[in-house]
Amino acid sequence: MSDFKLTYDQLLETNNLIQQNADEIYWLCATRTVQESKIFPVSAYILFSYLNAFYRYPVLLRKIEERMSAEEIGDRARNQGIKIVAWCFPCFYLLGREMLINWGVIKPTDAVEDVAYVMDFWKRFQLSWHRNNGNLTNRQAGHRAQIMPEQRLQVFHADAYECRDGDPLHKAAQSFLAAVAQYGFLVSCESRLTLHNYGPYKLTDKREMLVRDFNELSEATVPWLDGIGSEIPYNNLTVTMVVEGVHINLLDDWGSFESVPELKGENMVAVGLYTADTLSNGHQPVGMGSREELIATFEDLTQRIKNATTRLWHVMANWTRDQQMDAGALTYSGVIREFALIAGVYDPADWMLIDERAERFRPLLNDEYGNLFLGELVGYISTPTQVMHSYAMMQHTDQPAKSLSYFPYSMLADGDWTRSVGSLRPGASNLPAKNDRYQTSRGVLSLDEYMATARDFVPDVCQPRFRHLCGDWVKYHYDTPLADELFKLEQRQSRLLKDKGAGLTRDDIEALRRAEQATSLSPRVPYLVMHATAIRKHGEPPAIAAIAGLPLAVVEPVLQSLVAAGRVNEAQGRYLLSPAGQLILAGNYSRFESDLRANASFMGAYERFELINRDLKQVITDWQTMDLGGQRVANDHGNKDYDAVVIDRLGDLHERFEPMLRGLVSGAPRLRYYADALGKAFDKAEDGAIEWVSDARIDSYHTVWFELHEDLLRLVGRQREE
Amino acid sequence: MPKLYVDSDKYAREATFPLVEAYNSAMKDLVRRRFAEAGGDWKEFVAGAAYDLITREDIAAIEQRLLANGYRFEPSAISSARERPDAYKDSGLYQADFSFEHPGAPVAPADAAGREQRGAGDNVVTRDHNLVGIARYVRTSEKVMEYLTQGVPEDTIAIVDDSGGTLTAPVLEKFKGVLCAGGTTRSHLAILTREYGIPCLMNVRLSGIKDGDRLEVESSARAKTGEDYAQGIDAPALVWRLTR
Repeated sequence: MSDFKLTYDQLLETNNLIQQNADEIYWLCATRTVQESKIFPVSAYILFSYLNAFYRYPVLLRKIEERMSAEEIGDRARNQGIKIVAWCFPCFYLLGREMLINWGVIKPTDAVEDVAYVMDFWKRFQLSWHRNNGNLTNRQAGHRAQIMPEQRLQVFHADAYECRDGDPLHKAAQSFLAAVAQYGFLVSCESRLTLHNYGPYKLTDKREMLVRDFNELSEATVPWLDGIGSEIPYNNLTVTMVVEGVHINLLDDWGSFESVPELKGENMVAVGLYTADTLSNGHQPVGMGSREELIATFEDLTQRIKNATTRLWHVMANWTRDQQMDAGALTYSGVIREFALIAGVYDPADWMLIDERAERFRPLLNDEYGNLFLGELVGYISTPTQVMHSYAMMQHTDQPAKSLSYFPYSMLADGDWTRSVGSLRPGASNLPAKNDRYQTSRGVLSLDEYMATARDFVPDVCQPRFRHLCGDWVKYHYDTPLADELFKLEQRQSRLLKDKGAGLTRDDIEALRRAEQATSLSPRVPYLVMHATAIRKHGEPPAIAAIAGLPLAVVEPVLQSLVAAGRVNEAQGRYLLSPAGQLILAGNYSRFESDLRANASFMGAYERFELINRDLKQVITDWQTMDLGGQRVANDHGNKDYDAVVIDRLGDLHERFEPMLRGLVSGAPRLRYYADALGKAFDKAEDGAIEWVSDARIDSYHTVWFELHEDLLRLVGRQREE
Repeated sequence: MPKLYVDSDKYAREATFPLVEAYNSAMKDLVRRRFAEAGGDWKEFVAGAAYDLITREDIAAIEQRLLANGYRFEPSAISSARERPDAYKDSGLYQADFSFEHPGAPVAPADAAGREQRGAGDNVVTRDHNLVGIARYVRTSEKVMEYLTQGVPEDTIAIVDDSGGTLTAPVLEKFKGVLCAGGTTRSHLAILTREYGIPCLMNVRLSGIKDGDRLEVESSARAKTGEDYAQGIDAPALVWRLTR
């Protein structure tokens, strides 16, 4: 028997915690529609999960706390990232209570010790998890989730790779985000319980960072990923996403965000990838050794995730309704199973079964009743137990209602209350039993191995020496060896910050990023940018990047550093080599292109280019002028037949030129840009847009040809014959 | 018969929906009867005898009484109606000549260009151009399976019932556009089409669009924002059937 005593202050506090959830239920649910699905009976399984949560949480949370306190779990969760729990677990529990009160199965005065305990656990966990911002919930923080400490944020900030809309890293990251979100919805039975966002964090005047968690990807706790998630080598992945030109103005307790203006793909300007779990020392970089490795990692993971999505869809589409109900309900009521994993006391019998006390209500939960009762409970706030006296004005809607029933204070006087729903009762599931494979950051473990490891493991930053070194301590002790030690723990695997210690500011990190962009590049990169700037005079960065054959994300900062170094002048976003820059570039060709100049097959292709160049000049001359009574006059393009003949000649020439182009590209792959641009211009001209033959203001056939000629002359070190 | 705690409620009215009220009052009736049978004290009943006396069979009997009265449930999941056709309404999932006929779908006669307005919805992302493609209803897992094995036909504008991301998960990426009869621009399907860069209207109200019709969708219309929903601002993007 517990020594629980009912006191006035405890009831006051519990009712306050209930009301904080009540206010948030309405707001979160009103800003979404009821979740629908053709595969899953979503509302019905949600109600089912509420009942399971009500009957099981008190016992399971106590079992966890016998091993580890809610506050310590909060510390661990802050360190490793965790699935959405903030709103879910108290509300699932309290909505189960609300359903049962509506049905007359319990009174608001029943299971009082249970309810007070679950709310108190929630409070202690939340306050610890939110330690860095001092709030209980994201809602209390004005819909913001600033969970991480400075030392972790600095690593994320420093190591994110720049990317720009359309470049290979941007494309790879975008495809990954789409695929992993879709897989996440499927894994969590049409819910978003495996997706979570944190932040925003301010990086510069124009930039903010979101930390995006994608959990439960591999074989771990849910039986439906057995044999399906096994190809995905990480159970959790975290994407650090830096955005520019938008402000993340809302990040709610469901972990979803909004921005002004609306976030689009092009707003993502840097990205990083990590994994973290109950057995890792915080976030471990994944594929972060180089930009190329990160691209390849995203692409590989995307393919694995898409394969798993298709296989999982086949399994789920063939499930019986009972199996769909079980999987959905267990996804929901199991939302806090990570607490048990952290504490090392996870047992599938606790978290992956429907308690028989909840199970008996299954026949009530058809699709229509599910939608309507859930709608009344969380959307309309209209079930009888939620109605208050007519003077009352609920937050958000002013209706006389409250989402969740309080404890009546009369219990203090009349003693008419009960303590608990009692101990765990047997559970059941229509799903196949879980195999004994758990993907962790230490490899695939059996459950026994996993839990034994978890019980022994304390992440470094959660060791007594560091656990209570908070942001306020760092503020006043950043110059101590202990602070350095704390920061160096986070920096162990950082590309830019390894061993840098505690003294850096956000601006220092930005400067380190810029310095890396300028100096860690091969000297060939600034050379190529200068070369491309020489060819596309007064060019804008995207055109310069295209000619240089480099990602825009690389070229932009290099141009800035070339401007700072006096090699390049900038005016209104356009770039031109400075006089000194022209001389420096001219001196660099013999250094960087000596191999090419010794490449006989490239030089042969170049010689053939010079020959065909004469033919091209004749075709363009015949395009611009025509013979009229023995006089060359300007072609006014009034004679369609004449034009068609010239365009045909250009077509013949383009066909003859293509093998030479291939010879040039095989020697200098960067020249592929010209092959593509010439092909595009010719196609447009052939389709009747005749300005694409020779208009000097656009990338017409002649414009591109002229630039290619200039490029080749510089590469081989010759002067133009005029 | 003993009274339940919630039986004397100064403020309560009945639940909004008849089915909810019917089930919830049947539940209270069941608890009253079982509590009376058990006799004794509520404190002993609630976390003890009640677990064994209020059974799955009792609860199944509530549904049986409603079905015996001729009630049929509105299905959400395909599996519900498939497994119990006697308990659920037929929502035309397998009907060949199906078309959505939403009440209040905004329709208008063909304009000079032969565009016949057949509905409207909430645009997820503003695009440069309108979308033109072929209407194809995707309402069942069999249809998704067919597309998985045979490929999604070119130019498919998928018309789907609900805003979930699961039914079309394996083929969504292959659609040219999506018209969804449910949800908002913040629903899962909207999030996914946004990530994939696929034009999409949510919450569409359509009339008279059959499988195979050529459509133009006003994907260049203003995107509907969370703020629009909160303030009840309508921002319709139109759907036309192309008659030539």
